[in-house]
Amino acid sequence: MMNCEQFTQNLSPYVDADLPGEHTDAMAFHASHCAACHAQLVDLQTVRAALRDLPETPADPALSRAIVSAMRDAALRREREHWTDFRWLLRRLAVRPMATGYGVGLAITAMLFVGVLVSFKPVMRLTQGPEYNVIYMPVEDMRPFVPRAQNARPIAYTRPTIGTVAPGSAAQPSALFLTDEEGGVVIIAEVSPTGQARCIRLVSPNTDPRTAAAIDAALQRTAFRPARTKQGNPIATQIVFLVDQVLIKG
Amino acid sequence: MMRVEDIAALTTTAEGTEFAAAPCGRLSVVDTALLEGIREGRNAAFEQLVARYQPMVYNLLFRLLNHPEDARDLTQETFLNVFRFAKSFRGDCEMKTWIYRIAVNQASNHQRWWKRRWRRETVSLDAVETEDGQSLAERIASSDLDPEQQTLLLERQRHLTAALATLKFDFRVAVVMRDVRGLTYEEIAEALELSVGTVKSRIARGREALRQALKDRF
Repeated sequence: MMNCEQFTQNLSPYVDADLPGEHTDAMAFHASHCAACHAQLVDLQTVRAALRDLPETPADPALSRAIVSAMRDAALRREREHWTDFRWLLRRLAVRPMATGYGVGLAITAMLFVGVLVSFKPVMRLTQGPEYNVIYMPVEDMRPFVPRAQNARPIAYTRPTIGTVAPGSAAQPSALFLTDEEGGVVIIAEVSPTGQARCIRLVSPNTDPRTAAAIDAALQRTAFRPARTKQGNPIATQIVFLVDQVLIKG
Repeated sequence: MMRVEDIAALTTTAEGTEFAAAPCGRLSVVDTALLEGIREGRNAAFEQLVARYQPMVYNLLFRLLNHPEDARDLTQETFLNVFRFAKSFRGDCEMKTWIYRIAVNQASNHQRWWKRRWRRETVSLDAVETEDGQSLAERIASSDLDPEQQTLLLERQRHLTAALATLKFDFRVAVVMRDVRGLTYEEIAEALELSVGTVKSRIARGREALRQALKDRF
């Protein structure tokens, strides 16, 4: 048997016809025997009917036009902002986290690889320009070979012995040089368009004055072939070459 | 009701090529086409959307806020949000339910905004003025009821509107959606993102509060 409290609790679903059959019957039975609960039911049904009957405002054309216009403006604004706002890109990337991860990893690997290539300094690099040859060597210790070389007598061109340095062959040691100087000796010389040469620097960590003097003397007896332009005109050039072994007689 | 040519207008791009509007989630083909058009920013889609849903949204907001100007403003804001969020809407509920959700959120934010500014919720009988410039009294007067019935009905509706405005906002939303807009429990639960049990409870408590407020007046 349903009491008044239970009736009140079930009143709302009852008017919505949302109660199971046996509950609906019990509610109807209780309402027919309890005046207070019946009045409650009538009141609620009246309120519901009044709510349902509240007038509906029809569509307002002016409001509709204003809304459509505002939406169109918003669409145009979004179109303009699309290309200046990178958030759309971030949102797209966020949709595919795995692909984004692979992409970022690939980009980092490529950057590291390029970085290694750029920072790598070969022991010797030959660069051939259009009109001259340059041998570049990273050298820690450079010191003047023969100070008096600045005033040395120019060596006349007699025979092509070494000439300008060709890529891949840093130097052609003269038959006069036969020694076991460890690490070799780097010689920097200047050759004039007329084939006259002079020493500028000697680079070697272990060269003693005796060896330096011997190399200087040998160089003075060596003739160089001057560098030439593409048109065949001789030009001044600097040459750098490595001597592996030097034999000092006497 | 949307006509065949309206759907054709929605599924035709600016270049004149048509795309297939496959149903999206729980959306009908028509709503899917409409949503696609909104996402693309097509004018025809905006017009169809507003024509279809503007009365529904306005009337809900008007009953929730009891203020025609606020209801107009928030109706516009609701449709702008439909456009803004169309891309993220996955069709996990009906378009109507989704739009109701946006509208209720708008009303809720508006309500909080006013409360922060200490606006007293006054109930003005003028507030029952309708959108076409007619007051409720004028509208009833233009109906077929005799003068006595008209007066009685007008008085009832004024009391009802006033009582509705005094309800706690959550209860008001539930009662208006159920008894004024005629949504089912499940639709309300989806729109408000609540359980059906909570919706039933809110409706029952809202109705009871209304019954208590109106029992001596009806």
